[in-house]
Amino acid sequence: MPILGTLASQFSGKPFESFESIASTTVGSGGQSSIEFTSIPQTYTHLQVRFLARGGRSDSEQYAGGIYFQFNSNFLTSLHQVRGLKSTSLSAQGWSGGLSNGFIMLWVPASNAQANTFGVGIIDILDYANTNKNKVARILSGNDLNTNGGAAAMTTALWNSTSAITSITFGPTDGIGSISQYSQFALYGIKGS
Amino acid sequence: MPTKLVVNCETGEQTEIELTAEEIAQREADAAAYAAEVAAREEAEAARAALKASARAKLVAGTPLTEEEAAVLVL
Repeated sequence: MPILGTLASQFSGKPFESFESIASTTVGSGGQSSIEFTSIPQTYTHLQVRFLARGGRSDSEQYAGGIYFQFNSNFLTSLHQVRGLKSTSLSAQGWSGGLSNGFIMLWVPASNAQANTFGVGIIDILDYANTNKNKVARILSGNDLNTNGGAAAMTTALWNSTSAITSITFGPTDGIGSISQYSQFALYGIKGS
Repeated sequence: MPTKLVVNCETGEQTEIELTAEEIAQREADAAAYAAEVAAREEAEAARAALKASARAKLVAGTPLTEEEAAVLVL
């Protein structure tokens, strides 16, 4: 059964059947400190995560209620680069380097943003099972809070390891917040080369 | 007690698990690192904004800019 919304943005040149749902989850009441996809099957060529989320920490920049992700419980710290565009009513910014504590940030609303606002994004994880390559990911994420600004970011991340990715973890960038109720994460596998 | 949601992709099972003391300690360390990161970022942004304001004022007044002020205006 085709998954709605996946056709237009799937990896180019691949038949629709090459895109399969692996697992998905919705955060329940009270939020979660983290979400972990474990025992990821090694039978696909690439992975894709689609998310709709809201952070559980407060931030003066309400569009920056960041969520990080890890591979195999490892931060993506080594040699990663980040390029982004952050827009508000005042300015747009680009930056590189990422956060020094290793959190690659997904741009979702903070807990003090308007109620019921969420950010969305897609993470492509290439050759995740290939043990001859270091692992890279490309991320599109963002949210729009109307008069309180918004953010859209294009991010690339590197995990400097040839290990196969068997788990992916999402958590709040401040370490102590949570991922809010109704946030959704869906993991897909992409077949073929 | 904070919990994490574990989704087993093999079985489809979803389990809420309470964090261990070690995981909670790691979260606290992460929080401290994050706070330091935010403070450093805000300090750098404030310094850059002050430098730009100073450079702009000097340009308008026709007075010489420092090397730092010139650098912040020229990409």
